[in-house]
Order: sequence, then structure tokens, then C-alpha cells
Amino acid sequence: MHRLCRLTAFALLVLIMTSPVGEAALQAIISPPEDPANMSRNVFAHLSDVYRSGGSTPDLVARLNVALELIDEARVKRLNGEESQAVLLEEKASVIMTGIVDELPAAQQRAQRDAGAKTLLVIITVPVVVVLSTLLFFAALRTWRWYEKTKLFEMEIVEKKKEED
Amino acid sequence: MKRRKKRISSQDLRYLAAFAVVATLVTSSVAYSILHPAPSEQFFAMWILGSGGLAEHYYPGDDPNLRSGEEVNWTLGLYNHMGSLQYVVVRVKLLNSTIASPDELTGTPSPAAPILEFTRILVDNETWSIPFEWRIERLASRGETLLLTGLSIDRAYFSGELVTAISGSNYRFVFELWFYDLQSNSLAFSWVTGGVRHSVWTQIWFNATATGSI
Repeated sequence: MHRLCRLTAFALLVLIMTSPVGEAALQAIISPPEDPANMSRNVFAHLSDVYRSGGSTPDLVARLNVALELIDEARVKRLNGEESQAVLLEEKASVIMTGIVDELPAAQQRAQRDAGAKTLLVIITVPVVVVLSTLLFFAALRTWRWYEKTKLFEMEIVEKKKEED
Repeated sequence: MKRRKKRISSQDLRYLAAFAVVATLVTSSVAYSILHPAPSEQFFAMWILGSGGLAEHYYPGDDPNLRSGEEVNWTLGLYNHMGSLQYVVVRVKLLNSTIASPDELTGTPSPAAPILEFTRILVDNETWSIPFEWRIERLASRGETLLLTGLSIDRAYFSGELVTAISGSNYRFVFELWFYDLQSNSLAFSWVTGGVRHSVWTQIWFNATATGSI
């Protein structure tokens, strides 16, 4: 009976560890916490992608700057021997950066959507501008032709009058 | 039956067609330049201003011979014109006249270790001002040389054998601009644009006099 319990527990443990959730939990336990400076660079790389694709996320950049200030401050605290204060500041920075990472997919999607809308707007503007300017040119041409015709008609009247005189 | 008069002559039609072609070409070029703007010159700029926020009054009483405890106020300025978001790090190094300066030609930073770093994300065309308030806290004489052993910058205190100079002359702060290079996944001191290597750094000299309270 006792052996059966142990076997069941072992089987359950294996099942949990092989499942995606269990694997992630195990990874979190095994792997050391990411260095805040490295984490900030990774977050920056993602933000850079957003800006490169034509989007902008000033609020996320501002939050990352707050995290960077905390990391810089933590470095100074560590130099002055205040290790616990440094760890506290780095944890705060990590929390901020985790929040940014959570919002990154939405920001990336928004940037792609904005970039697509901008491209579409510019592409649609081309035929609209061409048609409108051609219509304007057509109206000007017609006006010019009407003016020419009127002038010619006036000249004909004047010549006719001269002939009659 | 009366023949219907043509509304537009063939000559005018040709004019219209020519105008439409030219308008299409011009508008398309403008649209292309909006979607793919030509890359402008990429650069960073860095500068130091004195206590009044101008390029003057860098030292208390305009005297570069500083005594311990004398407060010095500078403002470090940084401008990003790289055409993209940048992760920048300003590394502050304390040197004397014999420690090598950064080399612009080879893009090599100074071999001295940074005592302080300022990190920030800058969007394109953004200017960043960093207040840099510092003072010498402690000096120690060692024969003819004067050793800087205590320094405070922006409420942070640095101690130890920071830097030494003969007769306390020609200490300098070197500010190096580093940025995160996404291609190499590391911090870089120099970059190449138009086939030319560029790096940004600036320095400011000062002397220390041991006549104050050591």
C-alpha cells in the first residue's frame, strides 16, 4: 500500500513536470533571476521593433526609463555596500519591466495596425490627388477655351463692323 | 440629323492625359518619400554646461583649483539624431593626464573603469539633460602626488584610491557615450556611418588643492 502511494506520487510529479505549466514552473525554480540590466536591453530590443515598424509607445519608454534609473541607483547602492537596498531597487525595476513585457504584444499589434493604416492612406491619396488635380486642370482648360472663343467672337464682330463701314 | 458636337477636342484630351501622367508621377514620388524617408546623417551629440546652464562658470568662482568640499554643478547634455530609438549609457570615468583618453580614430574607449553610469532610452531627436553635481570629499598626499580618495556625485559617495595626479594637477572627468547595438547584442562605443567611424566623448579638467580641510 505504502509502495503504491509512493509510485502514484512519483507518477504525478513526472506528469506535472512534463506538462507545459510544470515545465515553466520548474524553469522558474532552476534558472537564476535575469540580470536587470540584461532584461532592460531585451525590453529595449522589443520596443525598438515597435518603433521600427512605424509605431510609438511613449508611455512604455517612460516606464522603462524609470526602471533604468532604479537599476543605476541600485548599482550605486551596491558600490556603497547597501546590498539589501540595491536588491530592493532591482526588484522594483524588474516588476516595472515585467509590466512592460506584458503590454508589448498589444503595442506591437497597434504599431502594425497604425503602420498599415498609414500606408493605405498614402496609397489611396495618390489617385484621389491625381483625379482632383486633373479635374481642376480640365476646368482651367475649358475656361481658357471659352475665353479664346469669346475673344474670337468679339474679333469677328469687330471685323464685320469694319467691313460694313 | 444634327451631329452631336464633341465636348472635348482631341488636342485637349492629349493635354489632359499628359497632365494626368505628370500628376501621377509627382504624387507617387511624394507618397514614396513619405513612406520611405531618405536616411539623414546619423549622430549623437554630447556637451557639458556650467552652473548657469551655459558654457561658462564650470568651477566655483571660475577657479579650476578645487578644494575638498567645494560643490561643482555641471549639466551634461545628450542629443539623439540616430533616426531611431536608442539605449544610451553615459559612462563617467575619472582620469589624470597620463591615463589614455578614448581614441576617436579607432573607436576605442579609455581603459579606465567607469565610476558611475547613467542609462536611458532616447527617442529620435530627443535631448537629455543630466544634472551632475559633485565635490571632492577627501584627498591624500603621497610624496609629490595627490591622491583623490573620496568623491561624491549626485548624493552617491565613492571612496578608495580613485585617481592620483602630480601636485594635484590635471585630473579630468571623461564622459563616454555608449549605446546598445542591436546587431551585436552588446554595448558599443563607436559606430560607422558613411564609411567613417564615429564615437562621442567629452572631458573636463580640474586641479585639486590640498589647502582645504583634508
